[in-house]
Amino acid sequence: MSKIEKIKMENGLTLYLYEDKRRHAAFVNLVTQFGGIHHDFTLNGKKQHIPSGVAHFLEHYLLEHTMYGSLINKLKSMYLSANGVTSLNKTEYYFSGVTNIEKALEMLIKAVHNIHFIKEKIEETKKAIYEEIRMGEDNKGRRLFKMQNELLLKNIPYRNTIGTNEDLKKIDVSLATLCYEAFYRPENEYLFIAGNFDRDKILKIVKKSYQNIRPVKGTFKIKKYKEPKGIKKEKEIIHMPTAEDILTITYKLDVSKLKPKEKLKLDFYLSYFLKMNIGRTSELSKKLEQNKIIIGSVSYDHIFIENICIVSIKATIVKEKEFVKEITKQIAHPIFKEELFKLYQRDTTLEVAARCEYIYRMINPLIENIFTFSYEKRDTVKQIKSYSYEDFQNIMKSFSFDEYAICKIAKKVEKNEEAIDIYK
Amino acid sequence: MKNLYMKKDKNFNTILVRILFPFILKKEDILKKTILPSMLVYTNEKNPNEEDFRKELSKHGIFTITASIIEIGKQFFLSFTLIIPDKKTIKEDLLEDALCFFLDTIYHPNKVEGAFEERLFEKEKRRLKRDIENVFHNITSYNNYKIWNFLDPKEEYIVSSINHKDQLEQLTTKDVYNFYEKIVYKKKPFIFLYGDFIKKTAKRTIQNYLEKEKVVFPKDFHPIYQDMFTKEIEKEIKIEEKKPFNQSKLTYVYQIKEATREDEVLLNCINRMLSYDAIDLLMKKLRDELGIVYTTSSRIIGEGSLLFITANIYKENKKEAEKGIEEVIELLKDKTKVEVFLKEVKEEIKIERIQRNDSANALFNNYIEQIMKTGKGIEELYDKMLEVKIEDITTFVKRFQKILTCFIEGEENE
Repeated sequence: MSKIEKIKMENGLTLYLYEDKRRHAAFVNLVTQFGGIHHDFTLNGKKQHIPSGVAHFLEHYLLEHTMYGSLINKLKSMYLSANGVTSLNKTEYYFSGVTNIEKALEMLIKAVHNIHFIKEKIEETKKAIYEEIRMGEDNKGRRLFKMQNELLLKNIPYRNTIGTNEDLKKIDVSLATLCYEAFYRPENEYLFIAGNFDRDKILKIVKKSYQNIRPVKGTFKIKKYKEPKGIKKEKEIIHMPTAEDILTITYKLDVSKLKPKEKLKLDFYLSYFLKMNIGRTSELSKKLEQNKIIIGSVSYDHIFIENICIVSIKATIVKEKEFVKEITKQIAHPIFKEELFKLYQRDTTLEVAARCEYIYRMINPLIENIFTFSYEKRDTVKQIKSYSYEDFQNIMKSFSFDEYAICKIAKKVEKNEEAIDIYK
Repeated sequence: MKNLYMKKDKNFNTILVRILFPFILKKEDILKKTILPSMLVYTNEKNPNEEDFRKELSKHGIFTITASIIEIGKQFFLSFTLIIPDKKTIKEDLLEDALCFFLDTIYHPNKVEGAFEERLFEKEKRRLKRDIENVFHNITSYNNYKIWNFLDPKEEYIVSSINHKDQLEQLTTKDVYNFYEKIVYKKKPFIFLYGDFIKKTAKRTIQNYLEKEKVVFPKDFHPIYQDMFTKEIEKEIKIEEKKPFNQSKLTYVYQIKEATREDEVLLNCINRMLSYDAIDLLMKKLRDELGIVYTTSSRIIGEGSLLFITANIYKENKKEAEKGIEEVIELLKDKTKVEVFLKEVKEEIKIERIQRNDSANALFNNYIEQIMKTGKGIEELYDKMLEVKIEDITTFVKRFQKILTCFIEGEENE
């Protein structure tokens, strides 16, 4: 297996190359550190605050209004698969294919770095995003995610990545230009290239293309948020079309004392911890099913945001009070089983070992490690095997899991009924 | 050994194994078919406890065992898939043990007095009930449900769990187990392996196991892959309904008049023109030009007999969306335009062919399709699409008949 090569360019860009000549295709991803969480920054010493959704808006604009017209359509006409995506802390512009890789890379770098904002085009870009927001309103997962952030986050202004209609209306030429000038600069970017490509040619193209981008203006600094302990609100219920109620219990964990490598370790430990205590084969899960407290299984997830980690536990519920009681009791007094830890550890090593099946699977974990944990290496089998059960116990026991918020999607209430908060 | 097919490929890191049991579905078995896969992948006879089963999976280095139902025309398959890392990746040779465990899970599921375990069955039954009810609360699934209820009310073409939900209360775990036995018990399936492994070891392991089980060849296998929607719809059906969603959904259904199986090739070309990367006419019209969608799509149902075009829109933009779709279809009658589109499609296919070699899964599926002769083999389709001429497309489009328009209007968004 080839190693991933890291190159720090003179202009500040960080380049990662992973050659795999067994493959026919190459995969290119240009990543800017500008995502849904970024609301505050300093440009030329002046503090700026922006509404939600700007990063996502810029992604759309940069793909649709380049010197080549729509960059996505242009790349697709070159028989490449292309797209963009904005998430919590980054925006990605990526393509893959077996042909035209070098030309497309040059175009991508030039296009993304030579944008002009025009009022009419800004309004045009917003149309598809309004539709995307509308679609999101019908999506239970997205509604729950937004709700959990509203209940938990006191200082961090992040709710979701695409913002609201009101946020979108605030975006004009001035705001778009400001954010573009601030965030789209080589020192704030990473370029990942994987698969079958000519290393020397690619390096030449990257160097040359970046020489032709617009000059970067001024100094720039992203604000880091510090989220205090405690939650903002204990519970929230929304009504939307659903067969059964869905409930999420969300915890906020303080991870500020952990170094990047420790946060990465916690990422694995949390998965093991949750699987052990509320996963499908756990005693609690069986109890919840047998007593008909839930329908189906409990699902769980976690996300790292600045100095905290949000853990969410979700299920389709029949008996709310019992569900909340059982889950919170289990998490507050968890079990630890060495045999299970070793089982999960083995599963993870198998997964990591076989990852190089697909080139994007080699690169995407590295991207996540960089942007989530500020850790510039991908997961390795050696690293996973180094984790110990004792360490796992110690770290998980250091979190108290005593404060949580409840988000609920309830069946739509008919006009002549009142919505009842069962916790009152 | 008949029914065992193996292909070596050293370019990947996993060994893929698929086992197919063919069967024909009767309407009264629809819910059993839906529940059955979930009863077979969490436990087996030797490991009736889910946690112990999970430990065994890990011990054998098994990433995953999955079960599903594959439908090709009127032919159904109960399909099992096993994925394990190969020896060069994990430095252990897992294949023999993993295969035995896999076959044990298939032929010796966890059963109690001739039925599947009650707890797991009740859990899956409740989940199915929830999923059926949720069809009415999700715009995409509700849209599909409405369309098929109008196109095929007697379920001559597609049988849906939703239309048989009244059977759910009476369904027992013994019913599902009996259904399983009809398909699997003592039957010899089609077995496929792909990856980097020793063929001799695999063959010996499988042969010994199946001999021990005393499986027999299935009765002559004559698959009924035909999947054409041939019902005549004389007058266009129009469905309009208001629902409490934020978005609205517009769907056009076109039927190909006097469709034959060969039409699948032309319809695939057109589908690519409508919504594949290189041309993507629908997105270019409805999103780039008109700005009225975030997403739109087209798909083929029934081997060249039906084309669905769908757009997620704001309710006020219905007329504009309809006009946009109709303009796109008109483009396909223009020879000058089709010449350009067809050239792009063919180039895209040539490149896709190369790129598919990077995906173990794509190569594996193609291998299975060639052997099972499902008629939907991607390589055969590619070859035929490369021979299509401009006049084939422009003449073909004239045979499109719009048989249904469905508009689910979201009431929530003002």
